[in-house]
Amino acid sequence: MNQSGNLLIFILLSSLLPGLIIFSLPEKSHRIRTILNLGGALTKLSLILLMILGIYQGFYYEFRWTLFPGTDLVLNADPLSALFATLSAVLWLLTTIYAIGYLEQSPNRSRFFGYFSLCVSVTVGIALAGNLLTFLIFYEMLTLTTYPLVIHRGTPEAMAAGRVYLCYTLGGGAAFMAGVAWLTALVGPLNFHVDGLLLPVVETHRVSLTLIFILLIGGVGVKAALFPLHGWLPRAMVAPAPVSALLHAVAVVKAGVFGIIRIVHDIYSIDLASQLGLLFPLSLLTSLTILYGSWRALQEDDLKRRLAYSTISQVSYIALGISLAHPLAAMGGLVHLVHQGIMKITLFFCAGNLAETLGIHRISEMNGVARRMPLTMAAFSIGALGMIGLPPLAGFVSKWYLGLGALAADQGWVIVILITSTLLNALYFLPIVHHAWFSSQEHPWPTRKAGKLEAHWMLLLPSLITAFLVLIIGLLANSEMSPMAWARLIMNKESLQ
Amino acid sequence: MILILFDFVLIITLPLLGWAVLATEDIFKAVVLFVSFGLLMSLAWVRLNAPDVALAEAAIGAGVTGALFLSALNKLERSVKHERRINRDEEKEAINEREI
Amino acid sequence: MNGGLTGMKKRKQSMKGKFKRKDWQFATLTSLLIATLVTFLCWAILKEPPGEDLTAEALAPLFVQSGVTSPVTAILLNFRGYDTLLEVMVLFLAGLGIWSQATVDPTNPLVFSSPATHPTKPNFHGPGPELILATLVRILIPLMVLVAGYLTWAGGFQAGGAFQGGALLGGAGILLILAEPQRISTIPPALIRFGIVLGPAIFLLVGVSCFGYGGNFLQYPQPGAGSWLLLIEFGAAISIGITLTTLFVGGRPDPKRLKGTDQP
Repeated sequence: MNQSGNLLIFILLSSLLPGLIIFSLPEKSHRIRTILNLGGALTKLSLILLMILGIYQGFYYEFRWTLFPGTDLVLNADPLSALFATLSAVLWLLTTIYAIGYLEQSPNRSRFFGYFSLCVSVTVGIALAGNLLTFLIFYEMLTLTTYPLVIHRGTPEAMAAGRVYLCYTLGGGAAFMAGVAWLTALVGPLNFHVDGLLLPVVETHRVSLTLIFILLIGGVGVKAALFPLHGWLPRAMVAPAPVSALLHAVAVVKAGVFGIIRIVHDIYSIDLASQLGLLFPLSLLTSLTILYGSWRALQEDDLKRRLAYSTISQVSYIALGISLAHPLAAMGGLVHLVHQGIMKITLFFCAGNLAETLGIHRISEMNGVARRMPLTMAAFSIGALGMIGLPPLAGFVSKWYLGLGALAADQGWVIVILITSTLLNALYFLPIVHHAWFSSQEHPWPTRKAGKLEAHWMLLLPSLITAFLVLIIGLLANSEMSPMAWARLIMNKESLQ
Repeated sequence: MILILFDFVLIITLPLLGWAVLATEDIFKAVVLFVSFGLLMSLAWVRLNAPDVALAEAAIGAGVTGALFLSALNKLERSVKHERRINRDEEKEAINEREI
Repeated sequence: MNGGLTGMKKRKQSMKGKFKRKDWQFATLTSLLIATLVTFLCWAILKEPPGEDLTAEALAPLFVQSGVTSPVTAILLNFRGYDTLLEVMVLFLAGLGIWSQATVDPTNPLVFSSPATHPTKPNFHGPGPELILATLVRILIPLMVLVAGYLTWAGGFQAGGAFQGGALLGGAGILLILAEPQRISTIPPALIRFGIVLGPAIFLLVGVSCFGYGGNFLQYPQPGAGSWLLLIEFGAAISIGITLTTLFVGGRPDPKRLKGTDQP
């Protein structure tokens, strides 16, 4: 351990401190708030890039703080953490710009941005966690910091959604903690970077290990929206669009599935998990979630709820990739973490644009909207086609690797699941795109304000940037700097250990 | 030998100069004495084998602080003069009003 | 020391020739305390020599690693770099404090008149003191800037460094303002702000980028430490010079008086 682990603390502080300061700002200090927000986001991104530079050169960053003898709070920077942390930082920057434009007239902005910054600190803390206890601490903090954002609007609907959210996530948190406590009692501290943690107790405690696995996966599965623990996600869509975009499509669900990756790969290790027979039920459950999510999405008319069900379905791709016990599938799952995040955030940004500019919340109101907002709908279409898995967009790359991995792991039935889900995705995305571009307007919209852009530039620019990223990441997936290359690096390091 | 003599002169002069700064009644004279105190102090730093500090003392202690003191002194005297003029005008007005 | 002296001066002014008994008591008590302190300090210094591992010979190998040959600069910027960062920040805060307290009319920053601003003063035939001042300034200021740059660079191997070069730059700035005060109005305030911020900003940036080389905050990478130190020193020198000049001027440029001033 060396002293350079202080960089990780700086990374956490770079959004924690602005968040705490923003809480104390009066409502109308718009400029200071914007400067703090954007300054914090840019600082965090540059510090994370510095960390990646260091990891690339082979330096090792670790921060260790002893809570009480035997248990440490550990922050660690390995390629997987760097992947998740970079994704969070980049998307946070874009969503901050989006949120500043979205909430321009709303009350309680200081409160919102304060909690927003806290959320992103905690998410990066989850990414950088080095043992399961640290992960648990930040995981619970994520629940606490996202709750005020869900109920931000204060309407009865929002409060009810918040209550459901708390029930689900606190219940999951309790299960998670029970699992962590049990496992720690069995084997001691649960470091992510130590191999063979559970080998001493495999023979004697098979049943315990299975039960612990169920508890742990159940605990993180709430946030990862596995069936049947997904009920909070569609309801949480009452939150403002930036919250839905970043948190419930990217940060919270990705934190959940990141937990699954850590538990299966680093705590249990793939060999042990398949030896205990835990991976097959997991792949069944995730496949069920994929199909269920897509099927429910077909029946929704509210745009954000349809996107929420689509998230439930897509995030389970990642878990499916992990549970297939083959490096190719794991690569597909890992890279889908990045790709799905970017595609989903594009879709949510566009949905927010439509809601803010034209008051559209339902898909039936979207006929012909592309004539009025062509750029937004172009971004939406790219995101939707990427979700379906059309080459050369980003979604295709991850589905391809998932399919390859399924074949290599002799689990051909997964291909059927993938094809079915792709068809269902097409069934619920393509009509939206078609009606938007090719139908004529049926629903009355407010008249267009004088101005060159179809929506506020702060709402338009992030969605265009993320749509562009979807395109580029798919096209250049083979280059050295793409998320695909990164996932390959992570899997190579894993298989070498 | 020469250096010991030099140190001796410095040791005597510095406290005397310090006392003179405090004891004079004219502020301007005090500021001038303070600047010369700073210059001698930087010589003392040189004798203590700290040339960096001597440079800084000469530039900041004697130069910048001296200029700051003189500038502040001037602004103080101007504002005092201004106040005295105002007081005199007010007194004149009061006397005029009483006469009326 | 300065504050104490100024305070004592004011007190002396207000009590001309009225030494009461309690003043003598106060004076004796203070002298006794100071004498005790001085005696104690002398005894402490003379009793314990510095430890074996703090002599210059023992520390010599460490100085080689520091990237500069002057031990003062090595300690100031490398071994105790964090303290120097805090000092630079303190100066920055002082500049901020002055800026937030007062505004200064940039066309007439010094309230008193100097020969350059009132060239119409009679009593002199032929070239007067303003010509001497102007010529002196024209010769001296570039020279001062040059020497300040040399001092900052020479801090790596002899007496000098950022604070010394910065003090000289500050002196140059003060001389400029005394000679041609209206010149301040031609400098855009944004440039002055940039100059004040430059030193702390470079220091912080260098400190953070040390993480990218596997070290802690301000733990310079070994082979190239000297160039990092030089970068920090130059930024700090510029910043110190501009901050000292700002402290002398005494406030930020009044935005109302800044528009459309002519060149002198």
